[in-house]
Amino acid sequence: MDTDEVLMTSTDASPASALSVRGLTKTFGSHRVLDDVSFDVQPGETVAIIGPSGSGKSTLLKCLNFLQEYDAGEVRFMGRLVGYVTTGGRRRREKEKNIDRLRSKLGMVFQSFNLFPHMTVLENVIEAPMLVNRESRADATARAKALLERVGLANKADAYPATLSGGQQQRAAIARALAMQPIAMLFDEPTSALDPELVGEVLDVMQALAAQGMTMVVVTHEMNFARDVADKVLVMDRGAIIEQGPPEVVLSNPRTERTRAFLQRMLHR
Amino acid sequence: MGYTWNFSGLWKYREVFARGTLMTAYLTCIALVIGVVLGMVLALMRGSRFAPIRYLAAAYIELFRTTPALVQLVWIYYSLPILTGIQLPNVASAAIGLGLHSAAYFAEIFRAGIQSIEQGQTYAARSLGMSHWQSMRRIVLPQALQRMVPPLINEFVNLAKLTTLASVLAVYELMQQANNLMLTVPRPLEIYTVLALLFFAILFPITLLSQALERRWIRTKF
Repeated sequence: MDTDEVLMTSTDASPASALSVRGLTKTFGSHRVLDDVSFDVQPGETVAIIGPSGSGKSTLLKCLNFLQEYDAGEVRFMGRLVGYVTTGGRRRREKEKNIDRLRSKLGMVFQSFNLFPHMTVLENVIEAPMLVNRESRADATARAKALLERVGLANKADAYPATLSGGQQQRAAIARALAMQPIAMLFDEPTSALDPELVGEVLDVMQALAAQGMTMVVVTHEMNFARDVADKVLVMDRGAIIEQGPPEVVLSNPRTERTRAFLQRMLHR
Repeated sequence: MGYTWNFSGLWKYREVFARGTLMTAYLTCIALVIGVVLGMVLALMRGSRFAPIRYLAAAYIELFRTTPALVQLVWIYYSLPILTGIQLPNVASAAIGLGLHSAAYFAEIFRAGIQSIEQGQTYAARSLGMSHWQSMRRIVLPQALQRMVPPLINEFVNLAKLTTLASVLAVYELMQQANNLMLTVPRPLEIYTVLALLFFAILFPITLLSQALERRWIRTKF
């Protein structure tokens, strides 16, 4: 079975959603990091997740591509349960190979970039397509160059990550994730580690990506990005979603006191 | 002091020292291969998702680190045949014993090296669809190896010196050749001095090389 087949052979759940999360719960010891989280991401939609630090946003994102296991509830990607198979009502861990395949279609961008420091920018981008998808070096390189062009790094292909600015590193990391031709992209505070003057260049790339119809889940503290680019905003606090809806509603006219307090703090940062 | 050093009588026994040096080098190489390979296996076992595999590796490492190497060699040569009926030749016993011993230390070096790589690197690799092994082989280990080189060379030098213990199993490496030579030439101080100088002459350049590599890698950015 190739990847697309694996992802498309879904039997249940709403096949319309790219990502569908139901009752997601995760505990570290006695601490409940995620508490009954439910939401959907439609194809082509950009969903922004905001909320105070420590509210479980990053953990939630890592559960979506199973970098973190979850305890209860379900995550479905293109209709298919992420990380587990259920047989006879019992749940066990999915075969590693299938988890790997699923991850390869769900790109991820990290706060700390996590480029591979022992490889050039180009090598960073072509590594997974060659290793995971068995693409030829020529094919992978051709696409990598087009992607680097797209994120404005055509002239940095042969540079090592350590010689790049934070903004350039993050754009390279986005190109690296796109090289796997993902169905959706996860962004974990992609601009939080950047100097203020470099935030814009990364957000521009993300905005363009959203405009081209990429399905995106973005954990962010950039309220302007959430307002202007997101189709939906989720507010998390203490592991739970306390509010969700279109940005103009959630950001301008929040229902809960906690959301209001959080937005106040963000305004006066 | 009344002692008169006299090295002149030793020159005609240079072949004895040469044979000893060869055997020392041979023991070191075999033990090194066993130690590095087994050490890597143990280090990877310590990172396993399965607890019994982790504990097994940890138990091995602690057992071999907290008992004397000399006892381990003697035990493999004399006790293993009693328990299992397998009698290894003395050279093999020494090489395997030293290999098993150094594996515990190599494992700790590998483990520390692997752990020194930020978890974000693994997250990035796995998020791209790489398997555990692919991310180890292509992303984590290449970075970790560089940080491991200084402690690895340090352990290699230790291992080379530990081969002198093989003399208790009558393996004719440098120490045993020296002990034997003293029966003919009653000049133990001179003989031991030559022995020490031979070790120094071989191992000192290696430590210099290690320092040079370290300096070069610190200069490159990662």
